[in-house]
Amino acid sequence: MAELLTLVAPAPKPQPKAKPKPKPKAKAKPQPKAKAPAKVPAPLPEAPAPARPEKLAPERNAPPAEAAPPSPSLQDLLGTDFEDAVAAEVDAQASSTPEAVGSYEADLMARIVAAWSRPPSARNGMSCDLRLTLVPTGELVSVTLVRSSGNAAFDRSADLAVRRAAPFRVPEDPAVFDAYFRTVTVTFSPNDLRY
Amino acid sequence: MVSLRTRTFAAVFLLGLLSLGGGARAELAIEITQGVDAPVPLAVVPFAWQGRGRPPEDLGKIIRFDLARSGQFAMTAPEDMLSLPSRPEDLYVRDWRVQGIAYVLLGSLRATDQGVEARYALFDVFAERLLFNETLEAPASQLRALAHRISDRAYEQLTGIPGAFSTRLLYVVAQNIAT
Repeated sequence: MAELLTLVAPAPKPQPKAKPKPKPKAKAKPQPKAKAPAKVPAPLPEAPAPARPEKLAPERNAPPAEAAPPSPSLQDLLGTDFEDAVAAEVDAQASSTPEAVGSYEADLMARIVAAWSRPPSARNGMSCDLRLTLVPTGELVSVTLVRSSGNAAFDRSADLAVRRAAPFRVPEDPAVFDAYFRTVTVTFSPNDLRY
Repeated sequence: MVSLRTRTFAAVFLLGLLSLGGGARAELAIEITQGVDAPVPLAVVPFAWQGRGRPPEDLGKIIRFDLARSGQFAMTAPEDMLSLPSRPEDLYVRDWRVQGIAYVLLGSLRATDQGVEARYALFDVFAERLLFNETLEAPASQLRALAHRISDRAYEQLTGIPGAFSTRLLYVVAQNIAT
């Protein structure tokens, strides 16, 4: 599975990332045609592809041995670049998503709190877990009791709270929605009751 | 283009998860420790009467008063109800849901040779689930007690505490104890 993903990922990667990627790739191709490996960094800044073709044609005969060394090193470079990029992406993900998700999460919690009426048999320390399944419109499509408190009235009050709280405000970005809001586990454990 | 980007994003994200070695899903897990405890909207539909003349007691009204007095419920007045079903199969969830009513208690009363028979049901509107559907019989003279029994059933089902609407106070007068 991991191999498959690594194979798939590098190609489309440059699109979202924009700048750094396309250039190394452009480099890799024209180079072998160019005669001197020393030139490697020079031709790059401008798009070399359209300008060269005619000139390059005759030079094709130039010894491939010379051309060979630069391309592996570039590809290595490409490889490490990609890994760095992935690492950066993961870091960005780890640090940026909680913020993006935070306000939606707070909103969801506030709605459930406002909708939750605990029955008189509820006691501090009781606890149950519900698993909610949401769709991208924010509507609730299913509620499953994954852990009961042992008190049916308490469990039902939690079930009612999430159903009354729906629909929820959810992120519009489908990837963020899928990652965080497709399924949400809610633990109900009151600590503000009189008993 | 969008789907390509999305897929890329997902792939990278998955890769990230794999490389982190957690394999854990990022789905939200939240904890709710407080509630507002507003009375739960409950509707007690007037009971249908199947017999001659007028019903001997208004069962729905007695039950409505019982449950309202508990303070746990916000009762819906019959005139605000969009429909008056007397059997669960006649209940249209939407009629109740639009008003935010969480539970509906409904039923009917029928004259029998021995007295009366009440059929009653409690419906969870948001979960679209029947919580109970029962029958109770009583002599015609015990209609009020019958209504209180139904209140007890609904109260216990919804609150987790046995209802006390049928309770009667019994005063025991002791005389000549010390002789």
